[in-house]
Amino acid sequence: MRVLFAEDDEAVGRATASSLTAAGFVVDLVESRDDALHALKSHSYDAAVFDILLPDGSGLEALAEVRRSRLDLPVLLLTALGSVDDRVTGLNTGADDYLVKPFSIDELIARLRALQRRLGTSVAMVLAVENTSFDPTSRMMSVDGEHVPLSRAESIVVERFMRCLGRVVTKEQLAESVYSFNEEYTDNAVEVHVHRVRRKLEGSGAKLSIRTVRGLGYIMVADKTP
Amino acid sequence: MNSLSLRLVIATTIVFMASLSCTFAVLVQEAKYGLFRVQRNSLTVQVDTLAERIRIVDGRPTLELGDLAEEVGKTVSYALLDRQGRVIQSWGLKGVDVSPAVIERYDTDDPFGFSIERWLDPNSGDPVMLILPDAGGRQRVVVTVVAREGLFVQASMPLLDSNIAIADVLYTFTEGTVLAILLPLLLAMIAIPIIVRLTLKPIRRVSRQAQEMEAATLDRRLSINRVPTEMRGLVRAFNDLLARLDTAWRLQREFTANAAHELRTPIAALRAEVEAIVPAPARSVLAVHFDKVARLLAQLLALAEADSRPIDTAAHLDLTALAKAVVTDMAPAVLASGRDIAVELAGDGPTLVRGDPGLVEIALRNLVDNAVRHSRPQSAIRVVIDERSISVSNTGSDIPEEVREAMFERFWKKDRRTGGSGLGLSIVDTIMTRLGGSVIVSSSSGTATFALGFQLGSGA
Repeated sequence: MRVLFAEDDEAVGRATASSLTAAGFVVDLVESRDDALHALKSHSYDAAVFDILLPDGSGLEALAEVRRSRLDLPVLLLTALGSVDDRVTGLNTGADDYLVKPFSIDELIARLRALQRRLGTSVAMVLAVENTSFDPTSRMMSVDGEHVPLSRAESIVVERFMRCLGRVVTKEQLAESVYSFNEEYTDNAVEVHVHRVRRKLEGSGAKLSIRTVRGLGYIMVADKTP
Repeated sequence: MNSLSLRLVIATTIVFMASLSCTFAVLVQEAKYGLFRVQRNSLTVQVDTLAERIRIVDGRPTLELGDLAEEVGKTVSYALLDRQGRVIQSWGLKGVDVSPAVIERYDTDDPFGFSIERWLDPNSGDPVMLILPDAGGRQRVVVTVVAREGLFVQASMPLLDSNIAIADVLYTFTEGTVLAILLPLLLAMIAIPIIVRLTLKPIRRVSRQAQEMEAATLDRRLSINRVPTEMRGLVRAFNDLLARLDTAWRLQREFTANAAHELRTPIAALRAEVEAIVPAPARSVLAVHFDKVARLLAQLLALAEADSRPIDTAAHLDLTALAKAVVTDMAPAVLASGRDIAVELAGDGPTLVRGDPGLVEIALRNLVDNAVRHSRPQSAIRVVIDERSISVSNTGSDIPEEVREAMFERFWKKDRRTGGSGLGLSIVDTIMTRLGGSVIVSSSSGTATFALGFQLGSGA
């Protein structure tokens, strides 16, 4: 996974880049907005991390430029400010995620992987978490290499959950994924699909579970290996 | 006695009464002299008239009263005196001896302080006016003139009792003018409170402006326009005070925000460096400490923001949408901590209330965070939205009555050993105070609930 990292603080940039490299990422470190935009034009990246405060302008401007060029690239913003307005502005400008300094490298790695799963350039890439994998092309799920049969709706639910691993997926979002605009559906129907997927995950011994956030939706989490 | 209107009414009444008394005193003095003058003039006219009527009959001077005869017996007496001042003829009371020797005895008897010097010489032709006691002791006004051939004609009448007469005059005068005197006073009584209200209107406006001020609006100043000149000093002094407060407050606020912000980058560098050389399994130990520092910095910034973020009083927010957004964002961390979280809505639609969405979000995040840290693993945190409130409750902790106030103070901690910054609840309290809302704590049988109350939004 190739990541563009725009960070003007030399220590933060170098140490973070080395940790990301150690975690298997390919990192291009730049120190200014112009360099970042230049790199984006000449290379192809799977994700970008922008510090909001850059010497020649704000990371928000770089982000806006990325969105104007219709680059479908997941962007994570880093900030030392972290007020409510900064976060809202960042997300409104089109950031996919947001981290406040001082951040944990493990958190950054997890977020980048989640971004790749969710909005990765290679949509057809096989999604794999723990012992479970889902192939968006063949729409097949397998646990420990064993094929687990899924209905059409169930496969959509599984894909949605795996792309949003560790994040809340609301019932409305699930319904929108499963049903087309003119199809009638009930909350209960969505619950039934989730229930079936849950049983299949449990039955096949997948180290994934779907937890309920009552009143809101569900979160798929990877079971912690004891 | 603190009402300006009352003070003015009392002062005006006193001034009014005092000037009325002075006017009366002058009137009394004037009336006394005036009465006396009327009597003297009347008598002078009568003696002048009589002096014309002296005739010599059989070689003896004789006076005919004519039409004046009817005055005799009522109050007036007349007399004709010879050259030496002896009485020849008299009507009513006997005439008064006006020979120079006699007159000299009375020269200082003028009760009004007028000099009678110039009348002392009967030969001068001027009337002589005297005030003399009669046989019964009553004062009489006596006027004597020199008539033809050195004869004297004299008329006298009792001096009008000035006090009674003046009281009578004043009574008559007052009776006719009581309305004219009391009406202005009455009008003043009615007008003063109105004038005071009108005059103080700019002051009330300034008070309202002052009332609307708070820490975040210290850059505003009271408007001096239309403030009465006498009050401008006070308004200017208040504005100067505001300017000093503003500076002090801004420095304090900027210090907190800057300190937190400036610490973030070096700590981020430190963390990145340490995590780059520490193998993944050992990082979790360090992460606890780094997270604590990161949290404290975030809370300090949140507090600075809660204190100083300008508030749009007209702003509205949808509690339902806000709760969903916050729980969506925080649920992964809550579940990862081993707790459950649920949102309970009152209805399907939005819940519009008054308030700044950014600040309410900070408050709600702090409450959820607080609930996570004070509940046991496996327990559930409930975020409940009501018509105009949002509450966060957790099981596993009771809040003793005695700490319910102290817990909102800055850096208060239930237990010094716990990881919290001690700022969360004070941030919540600061925000709700600034938004004009409320924070209600309740706790029973192991469930602690924090409810944020809002004012209903206009769209609700």
